Amino acid sequence: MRVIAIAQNSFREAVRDKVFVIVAAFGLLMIASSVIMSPLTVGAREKIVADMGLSTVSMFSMLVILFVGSGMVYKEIDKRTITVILSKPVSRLEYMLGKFFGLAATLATMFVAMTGLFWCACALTQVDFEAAFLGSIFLSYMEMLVVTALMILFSSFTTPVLTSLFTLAVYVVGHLVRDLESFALVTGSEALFSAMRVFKTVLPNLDLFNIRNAVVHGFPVAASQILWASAYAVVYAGILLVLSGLIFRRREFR
Amino acid sequence: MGGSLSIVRFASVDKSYRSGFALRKKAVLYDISFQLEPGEVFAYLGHNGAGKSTSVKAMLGLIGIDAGHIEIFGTRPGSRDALRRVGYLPENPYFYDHLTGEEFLQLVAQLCDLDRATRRRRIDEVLERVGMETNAGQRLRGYSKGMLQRIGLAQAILHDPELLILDEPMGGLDPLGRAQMRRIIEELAAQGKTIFLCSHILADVEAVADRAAILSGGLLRRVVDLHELRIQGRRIQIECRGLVEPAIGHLRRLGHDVTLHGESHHIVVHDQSAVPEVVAQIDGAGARLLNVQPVRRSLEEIFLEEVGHVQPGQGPDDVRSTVSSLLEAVGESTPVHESGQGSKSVEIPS
Repeated sequence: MRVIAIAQNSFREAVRDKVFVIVAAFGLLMIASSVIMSPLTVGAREKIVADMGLSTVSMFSMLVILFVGSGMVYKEIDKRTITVILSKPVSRLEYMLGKFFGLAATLATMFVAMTGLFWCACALTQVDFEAAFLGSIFLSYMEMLVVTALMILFSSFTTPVLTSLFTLAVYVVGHLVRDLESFALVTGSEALFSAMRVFKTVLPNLDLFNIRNAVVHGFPVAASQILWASAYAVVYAGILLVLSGLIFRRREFR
Repeated sequence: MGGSLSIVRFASVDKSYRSGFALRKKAVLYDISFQLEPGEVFAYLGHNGAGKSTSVKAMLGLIGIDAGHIEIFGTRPGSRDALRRVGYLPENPYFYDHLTGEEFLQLVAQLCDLDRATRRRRIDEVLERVGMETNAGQRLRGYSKGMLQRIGLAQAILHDPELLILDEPMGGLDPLGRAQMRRIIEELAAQGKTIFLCSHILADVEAVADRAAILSGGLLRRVVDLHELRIQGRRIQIECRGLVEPAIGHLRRLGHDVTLHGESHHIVVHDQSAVPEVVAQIDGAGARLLNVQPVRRSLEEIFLEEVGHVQPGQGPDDVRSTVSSLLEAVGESTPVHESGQGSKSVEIPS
C-alpha cells in the first residue's frame, strides 16, 4: 500500500514533468519520421523501419530515466519533502521501491505509447508488425528496469549529475562486458583478465537484452532467451534495490 | 517524572555535523536531556541555529546522534510504531507541488495506512479544521505560504496522532493566520494531544505552552514551567512613601513582602484580592500611595536572559568558550549544574 502510494505519486510527478513530455514527444517524432524516410530506403524498407522503431523505443526510454529519474530522489532531499514522507510510517526501502515502481510505471506507459506509434508506422509503411518486435520491446523494457534500479542505487548517495553519469557509464560498459573479457584475453595480461572477470560478474550484462539485430534480420529468437533475460533483470534489479535501501537507511536528512 | 511514561525522552544527546570538506565536526547539540510528558504542550525555544530542528530530526530518526539516547513512545526514533503515533509539520514546508491539496492528503493518508472510508472522512475533517476546504482542489504550487502552512498542519493531524511535532508553525503567517494556528493548537491541546512546539514567537508560546525549554547554541539552558510563570504574573507591587512601624510588621505578618528602596517601600502582594486591604493599611498608617502595578517576568525576559550572550549560529563549543572567557573575567571556573529536567546547562553571569 505504502509502496504503491509512493509509486503512484512518482508516476504522477513524472507524467506531469515537462521534461518527460518533451522526451516522449521527441520519441514519437522519431518513430513518425521512419514513415517519411521509408520511401528513401531502397530494398531495405522493412529493416530500416523496424530498426529505427525499436532503437527509438530503447533510446528515448533511456533519456527519460536520465532526465526525469536521476533528480527524483535528490529533488525531494533538496526541497526537504522527504522529511514529511519519512516522518510517516514508511521505511527507507519502501520509499526507494516506491520511486522505482513509479518510474517503472512511467516507462511502461511510454513503451506502450511508443509501441502503438511504432505499430502505426509499420502499418503506414506496409511493414509487417511481427510478434518478435514485441519480444524485443519487452526485453528493452526489462533492460530499462535494470538501468532504473541502477539509477535508484546511485541516487541513494549522490547528486543527479553524478547519478546520470554513473548510470550512463554502467549502461555503456554493461553492453561491452563480453568484449572487455575478449580484449583482456587478447592482451594476455592475467591481471587484466582477472579484473575484467570481476567486472563481468559485478556489472550487468545488458547485451542479454539486445535481440534487436536478430529480430530486424528475421533470425529466430528462442522464448527461453527472453525468459532467462527477464529472470536476470528481476534478480539483478532486486539486488540493486535492496542495496539502495541499505545505503539510503544510513543517509541523514538535515 | 518517570521515564517509562514519557512520550519522548532525550538523555544526554550529542550531535555534530561535518560541513563541506571540513575535517573537524561542528557540535550542534550538546548533552541535551528533557522529557515530554503525555498531554503537555512543550515549547522548544531558541534562535536560528540553536539546534531546534536538529533535535526534531533526531526525534524522528531522520538523522542519527553521536552520543546519548532518544526514546519516542518507548521505542527508537524512526521506528514504524513510533511514527504511526506522530504528526510532523516541518519548518518552511515544501510539498509536492505537482499535486493538489487533496491529492497530497490522499497520499499522506495512504502512507499512514488509513482505509478508504476513514481516508475520505478524515480528509474532509482536517480540511475543514484548517480552513482549506475551498482550496483543496488547487495545485500546491499555487499556494501561498500561509496556505502551505495550513495544509502542512492538515497532513500532520490527518491520522489523528498522539504526538504533534510542529516546527515553527507560525512562521510566515500574517496576524490572522497566526491567531487561527494558535486556536487550532489550543484545540488540539484541549483534546489531550501532546505537542512539541518549536517557535520563535514567544508571545504565542507563552499563551499555549505548559513548559518551555530554552536552547542556545546547542545547549539546553533552562526549562521553564509556564504555569508557574503565569501564577507569578498575578503578583502586584504597591509602592508607597512614609510607611512606618507597626504597619510594616503588620503587612509582613499578613504574608506580604515589604522592602525599602530609597525613600519608598515596595510591598509585593501575592494575592490580587488582598490589594484593597493593603491599600487601606497604607492609608491608615498615613503613608502616601505612589504606584500599584502587576509584577511579571515574561518568557521573553527569561529567554533574553538565557540567550542574550549568544550570537545566532554559535554552536556549543562557541558557547562554552564564551562562558569560559566570561568566567575567567570574574575569576571562576565553568559551573555545570543540573537544570530542571536533569540536563546540564552552563550558567553565564549576567
